Amino acid sequence: MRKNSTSTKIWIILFLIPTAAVFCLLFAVPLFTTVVSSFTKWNGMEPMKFVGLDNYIKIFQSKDFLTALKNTLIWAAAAAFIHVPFGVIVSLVLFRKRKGWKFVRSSFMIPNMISKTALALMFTFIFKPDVGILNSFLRGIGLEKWTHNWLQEEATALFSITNIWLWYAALITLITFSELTMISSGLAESAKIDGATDLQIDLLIYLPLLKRIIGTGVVIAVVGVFKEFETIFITTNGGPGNATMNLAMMMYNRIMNSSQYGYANALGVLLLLLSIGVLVICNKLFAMDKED
Amino acid sequence: MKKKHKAGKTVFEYAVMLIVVFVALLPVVWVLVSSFKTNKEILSSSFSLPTSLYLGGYKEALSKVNIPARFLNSLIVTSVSTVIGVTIYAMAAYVLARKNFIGKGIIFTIFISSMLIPGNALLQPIFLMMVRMGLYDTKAGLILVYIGFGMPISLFLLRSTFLGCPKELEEAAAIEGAGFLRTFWSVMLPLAKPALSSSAILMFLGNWNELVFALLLTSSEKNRTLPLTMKFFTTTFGFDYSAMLAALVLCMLPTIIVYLFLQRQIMESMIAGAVKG
Repeated sequence: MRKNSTSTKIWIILFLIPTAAVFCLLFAVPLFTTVVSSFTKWNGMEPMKFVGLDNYIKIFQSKDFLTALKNTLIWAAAAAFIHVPFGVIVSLVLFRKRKGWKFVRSSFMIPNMISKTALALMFTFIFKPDVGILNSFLRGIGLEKWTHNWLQEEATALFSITNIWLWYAALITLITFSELTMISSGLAESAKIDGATDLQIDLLIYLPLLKRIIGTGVVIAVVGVFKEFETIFITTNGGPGNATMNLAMMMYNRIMNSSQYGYANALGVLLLLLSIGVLVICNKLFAMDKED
Repeated sequence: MKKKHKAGKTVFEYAVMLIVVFVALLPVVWVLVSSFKTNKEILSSSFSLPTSLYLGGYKEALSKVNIPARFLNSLIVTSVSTVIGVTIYAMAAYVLARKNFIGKGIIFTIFISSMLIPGNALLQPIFLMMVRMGLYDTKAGLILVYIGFGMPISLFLLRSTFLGCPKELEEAAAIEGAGFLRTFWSVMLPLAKPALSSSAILMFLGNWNELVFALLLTSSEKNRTLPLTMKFFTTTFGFDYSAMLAALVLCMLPTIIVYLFLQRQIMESMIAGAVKG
């Protein structure tokens, strides 16, 4: 190791300071505050009052939390078992490079480019009971009795807003596709010569090779829905009742409407633990940490 | 038999492609078309084409909210945070990749760990801090937060690029008498251009669409950003659908246009960001 000269040392420090400052200000200190205050009663005005695990106990006893947790987990499952597989299937289909595949890929990206907010707002129109296209369509084909006030009825609200993100898996498609292009085509060709069908090639050759990228996709998707806030905020605000409440939405409400910072931050800690949990589980499941 | 199987597969593949295009474009196209309809037309039939190119919705939307001003706010906040962010992360990434000093690995790991923290979990402490620092309802406050959001992914992308640069170049620069700054600026930075643009694109996109912190950290019209406009319209317009749809089009059009021009770069950045992160 070569010794750095004094001036180099100074430069090294100068180059690190801005990033270190941003890190402290926006991650370290807030995280510290979140964790510490989660053990206190705090409204932001008066000093924190230490209450031990009270917030956590209250959270786990509250019905609201159990609903929010249930919805969060339903979304995590939908992300892992529908959103990601759909994205992977689309990428395998696109990889056949049938006519028009580039157009399909470009189109698929558009909902991912416009914000979640815009997408959610669009869907509030689709789901409107009177003028929404979904109900108009159902009426048009004579299925009047299937029409609903999609976002306002307890039975349909969660299902409806799930569809606002569920099928927009362009990021998953994109990363799987780029991984596919890196797999040597020789494997697939020699399998074809041996008489393998395309489906067999997909399932037996490509899918195992895609394991790690699918794992990455699951982490991105699941951690993404844990944080999902805009979609709910724009459409239902968590309602009707608590039907579409999730942890992020619940946290926002506690901060904005009731200044229960200790309680809200305990929810934040739980959110953080859930995200780390998913990462650890996926690492194990998809063997993502192993080099090959 | 085999032929039949093949035809079935082709049908399946085209069916998937068709569904994807339908799911992706239908809402956008419907909103675009309907925004040129009068409120009455929208209410009477959701599928019909506009009878004439009605621009009243756009006029109404623009008179209710100063959309160009908000667009400008978004542009300022997002560009400034992206430029500052990419610059300081490039500096840190360079040092972390190319220089030897004690604690280098630990510092990098700590910086990168910020990736695990969901921004929402820090909502309240950041809000409080901004109020205390006098940055509540300022563009500077929002810029600061947006700089932070780009940290883990930019550091990661830039560091791995700097790690891959050949050592000889740096040595040659040293022999030529280039100092620390000069080597960084004229030798290393140009080599990292692809990673710099990927980081910038990812940061820009993420922050351009950000809603929660913008909502929480700004209150006056002069600091409101574009995504907030959409929230505003859901609460304000009630039943003036053509104005609401027009506003929605105005909010998403810039993004779609930029996307159509920079498609390849955007896709590459997203792949790099997702896979390396």
